[in-house]
Amino acid sequence: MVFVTGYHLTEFNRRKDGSSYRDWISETFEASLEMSCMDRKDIDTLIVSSESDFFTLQLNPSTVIADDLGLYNVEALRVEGGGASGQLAVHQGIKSILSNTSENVAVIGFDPSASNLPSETVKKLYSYSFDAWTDGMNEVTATSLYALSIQIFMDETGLDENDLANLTINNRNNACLNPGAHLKLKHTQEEIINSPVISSPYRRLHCSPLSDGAASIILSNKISSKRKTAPSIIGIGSANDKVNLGARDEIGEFTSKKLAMKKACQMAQVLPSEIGFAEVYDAYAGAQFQAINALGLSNNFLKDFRDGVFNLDGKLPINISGGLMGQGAPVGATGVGQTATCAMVLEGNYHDKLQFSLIPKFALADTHGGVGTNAAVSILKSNV
Amino acid sequence: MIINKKLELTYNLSFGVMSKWLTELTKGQALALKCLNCNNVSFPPQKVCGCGSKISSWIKLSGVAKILSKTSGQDGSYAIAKFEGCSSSSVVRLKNFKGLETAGKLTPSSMSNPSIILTPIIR
Repeated sequence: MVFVTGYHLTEFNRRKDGSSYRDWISETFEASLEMSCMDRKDIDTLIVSSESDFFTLQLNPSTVIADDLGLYNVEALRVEGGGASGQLAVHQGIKSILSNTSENVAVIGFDPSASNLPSETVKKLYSYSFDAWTDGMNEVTATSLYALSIQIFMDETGLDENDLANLTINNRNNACLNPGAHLKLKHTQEEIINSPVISSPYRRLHCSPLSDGAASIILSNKISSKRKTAPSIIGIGSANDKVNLGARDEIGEFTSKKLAMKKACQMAQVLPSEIGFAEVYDAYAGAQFQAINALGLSNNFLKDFRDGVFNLDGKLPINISGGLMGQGAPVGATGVGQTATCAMVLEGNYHDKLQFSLIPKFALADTHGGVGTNAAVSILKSNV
Repeated sequence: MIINKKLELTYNLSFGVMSKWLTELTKGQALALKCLNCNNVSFPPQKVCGCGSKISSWIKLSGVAKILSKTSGQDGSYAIAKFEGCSSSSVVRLKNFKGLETAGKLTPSSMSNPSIILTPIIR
């Protein structure tokens, strides 16, 4: 059994205060460690996740982070899988515990995606996170690739521009209730539909922001009497699809996510219909619909969305944090942050206006890299 | 304290077995890999076919492609296109497309940036 004995997210935003990603890491780790009721000497494994050394200008980051955190004689490593880096790092921590090679693992995700480099440079670097020899040479952006995928999905499902706008409004409304969120914005449909077209059908307001931030969890193989209500992670799954969109069997579908979810549900012995709320990877407004569909969270995602099922007060709330679109996206921190958010909610510790009074039994954290190229999902269980 | 630090990188990139494909791309020629086990034709080439075979040979395509889906905006114009004779589709950059064209032909690209660029064919 793996317990999430500590969890924390820093604010996700664009830092203008001169602080460094190493400060944010210290902040989030110390908060998680304190919550876990452990001493740093109890941590035997440090797993960090960040998407690219280009952002930090620091190769081999796990070693300097271990020093910063006063973690010595531990196993220290970094996990990278594009946008899925954080969730894959969580998975690595769970595997370390389940294989009895670790007892207490600190998983820390971070990225200074907003403040260290100009956004145009980050955009260019991101275009190398697909196949650098094909998509990279073509100078195609992430937004354009996501746009090509969602267009096909929209043609197949009837999803329309109003749905993209409404989802954007929902996620940013949720972000307004999350003190740590990057884009606490109240939009109107008109504002969204009149925002500049980045890559049709995606407009500027359909996109998640580049953010700075860090998140951490402490995974443990047992719980102390002080942490009896710590949630557990009971299922994980990961799978990939071809990088080249055109080479895929289903260009508009996140097939990798279907398989990752199937693996996680099998491990957890849980059905998708038993998930009580989910944090899913909404790099763009449409990606949230593609994710809900692929994860099997609904038999008719479009009707359920239009009926408000995924709203904060709906039957299956999704992205109550605001998701990447509202809370923000420091890439390496995203998957860890989603898992931390699920743990907070399952233990009743989430932000006042977002915490459910009736705590769900199961939650899902869903992350991916590329355009649904490598998917990683985790299922958490409440022990309250 | 904030320091502005500039890092300039000049890579000498080699492409191994893919060099042939990229070189032909700069000439506007579409080379594809044909699997000798199942006859699947891939462009961009897949070194290992979906059937599991890695025995393949290079073939030349006409370079004409049908556009299945396209996107445009501040980030440029791109499409999913299916090249004649190819089993799967490709992501392509569109050049000089006005909006109504449904097909294009591979066009030469720079030696320093071999790219899959289509110019329109009016049918």
